[in-house]
Amino acid sequence: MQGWLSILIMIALGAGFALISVLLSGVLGPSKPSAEKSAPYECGMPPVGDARERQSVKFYLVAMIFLLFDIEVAFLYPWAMALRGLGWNGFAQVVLFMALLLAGYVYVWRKGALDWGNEKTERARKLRT
Amino acid sequence: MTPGALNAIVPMACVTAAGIAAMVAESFREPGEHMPIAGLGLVGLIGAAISAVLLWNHNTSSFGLVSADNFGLFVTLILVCVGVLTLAISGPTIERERLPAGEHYALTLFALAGMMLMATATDLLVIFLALEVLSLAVYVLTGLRRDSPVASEAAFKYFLLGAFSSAFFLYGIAFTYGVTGSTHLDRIGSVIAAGAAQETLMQRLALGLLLVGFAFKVSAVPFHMWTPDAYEGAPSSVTGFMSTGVKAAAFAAFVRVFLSAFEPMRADWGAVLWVVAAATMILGTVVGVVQPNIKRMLAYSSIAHGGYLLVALLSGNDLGKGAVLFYLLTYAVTNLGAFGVIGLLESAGTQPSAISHQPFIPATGHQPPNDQVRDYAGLWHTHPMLAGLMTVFLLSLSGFPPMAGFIAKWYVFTAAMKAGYSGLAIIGVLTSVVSVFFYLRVVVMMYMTEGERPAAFPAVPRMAGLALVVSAIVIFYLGILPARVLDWAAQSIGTIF
Amino acid sequence: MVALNHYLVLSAILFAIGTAGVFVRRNLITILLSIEIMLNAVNLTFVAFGRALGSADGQIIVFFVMTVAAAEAAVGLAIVITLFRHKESLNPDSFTLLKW
Repeated sequence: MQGWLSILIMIALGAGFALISVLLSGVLGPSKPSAEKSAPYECGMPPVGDARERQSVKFYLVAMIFLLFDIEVAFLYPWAMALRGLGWNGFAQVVLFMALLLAGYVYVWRKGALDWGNEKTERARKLRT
Repeated sequence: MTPGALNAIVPMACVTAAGIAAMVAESFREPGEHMPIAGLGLVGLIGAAISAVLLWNHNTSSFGLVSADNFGLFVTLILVCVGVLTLAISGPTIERERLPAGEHYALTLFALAGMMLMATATDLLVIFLALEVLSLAVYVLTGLRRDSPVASEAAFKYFLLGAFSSAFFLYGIAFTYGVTGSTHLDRIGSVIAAGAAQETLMQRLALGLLLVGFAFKVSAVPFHMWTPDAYEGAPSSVTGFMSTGVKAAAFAAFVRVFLSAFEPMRADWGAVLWVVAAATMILGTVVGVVQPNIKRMLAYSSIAHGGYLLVALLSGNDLGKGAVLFYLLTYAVTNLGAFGVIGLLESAGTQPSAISHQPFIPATGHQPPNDQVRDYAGLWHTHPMLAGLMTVFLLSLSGFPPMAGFIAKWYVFTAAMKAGYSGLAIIGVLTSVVSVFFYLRVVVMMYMTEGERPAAFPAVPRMAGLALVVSAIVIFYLGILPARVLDWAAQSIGTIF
Repeated sequence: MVALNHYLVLSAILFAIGTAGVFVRRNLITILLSIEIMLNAVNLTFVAFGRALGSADGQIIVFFVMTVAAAEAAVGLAIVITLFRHKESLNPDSFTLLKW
């Protein structure tokens, strides 16, 4: 049972952090509610409505891009844990890894996949053809 | 890390760098601006070729995961040929289909880097990663014509079956890891060889799942269903690329895994592969005979050629291993040539400017893509040069002397006879004879039939024309004076087995 | 005590569920999810073997498989979207342009 104590502490810390953040922001922050702000999801689609409503395809695009750039963290954590052991050699490899991702990011950005408005998407459409 | 530790990955690093450069260049290209992106790719491929030649006979290895032995380098050089030819012949297809040029080249280069990695990797996990790198790029290339329902459907079928088979392949790797405690081919080989007397069920399971994964990638029967659909739906230059490049990379890894690590279990996989090879040759040939669409016909022909390669692999003697390499080389040059001609003729009759081309709306103004066998009627009268080249490619595919295809098949069947697989050799010869029929069908169309279409063939771009002529010359060279290349192939198999 | 075999059986069941899903389900997105289930079944196998063998290799491999799965999902979704735009349907039976 000894091993579970640390997990209990972890749970307490996690719950405590969430509670304190919510309480503090409630106490300290200014409160000016509006209909838009009190919706469950402040950004994105309306939460109540027909389930078959069509969503903009941009959601899929952002989801795909998020998926790809999100997974990079899976490699950064192990590297961070072994930072000292890997030394500059490991650092150089991670920098190379990030540089490759950056190239992908530049591509995504320049292609207008991150723009939500209309003005840049026009440009992207022209680029595509 | 010692300075030479990265040497073995220099060829694929060159190609990857070129691919990233192409991607970034494309993103900074203004609409309508022309950029020599294909040139970037060419530079990267030449770099890969030079480094591969410099690494020849050095047997270097990086991280213990990638080994630049002569076998891998030979396949790397085949892949460089595939890449250069693809870059040269894809121009007309890109123009006509209005494909995004930068993406096309970048994805081609990424796929090539994955193929090179697959051919040189000596660890099952790295082979899997390389397989995925090349597959993902090729899935996207297949669906690059986003305005075409056929292309999207082909891309999805290819993606679905490819991802499905990757899962099987990965499951096989997992069991191999469980049985042997390693994913490294050397370790796997020694562990299996040590315990060859009592084989466990799990070991057989691992072998079977890996076999399924490879069979999908080399489109062997009964896992060939995706091939004709993907080949028909993809743009012609991409079809040529994936039929040759993917095959070369997959067979390189197939040979490496089965003839080194799993060689002690030959008793298990030999019989299965015998049946698969026979079925692949027969089905590819028989179904190919009745195809009205030339790309589908060549897809079945590619399945049949996969069958011949399986025979060479199964033979497993020195002759057979050398034959795999030689066959891959001749097949790459020949098939890319054929698809180059198809790509040029597809361009005929379609005006590239008049079509409304909004994204995602099927362009109804498209003329039929000119890819039925009957569209080749009378080509000899309208474009004798292309008809002549196409004849060379098709005859070489059918294994007609003195073309390269003849020597390649000759070596495969000799190897099979020597290894005691005379049954397979007989099936191979018979299917080759039958296959002559459907290749000749196109040739007869070109020479003996009058075309109903007026002569509207556009001028052949210089690069594409040059590439096709060089391919034809190489085919004759390999067919008449094959000794030197066969020597190289024999040298390169000596380094790994 | 949970032995290695339990994990292997569980992952085999998951893999079978994924495989069946690919064949049985009639929605392209669900089919993609089924393939993800297959890959995760393999991940479980890797972790179980890695633990049984007493090496961290199994878990390291899972990182790579997760990355591949993410890339595969992204490409798959993109292809499904282009497909949907042509036919306004996600039923695989409605895509029949290519046969034979």
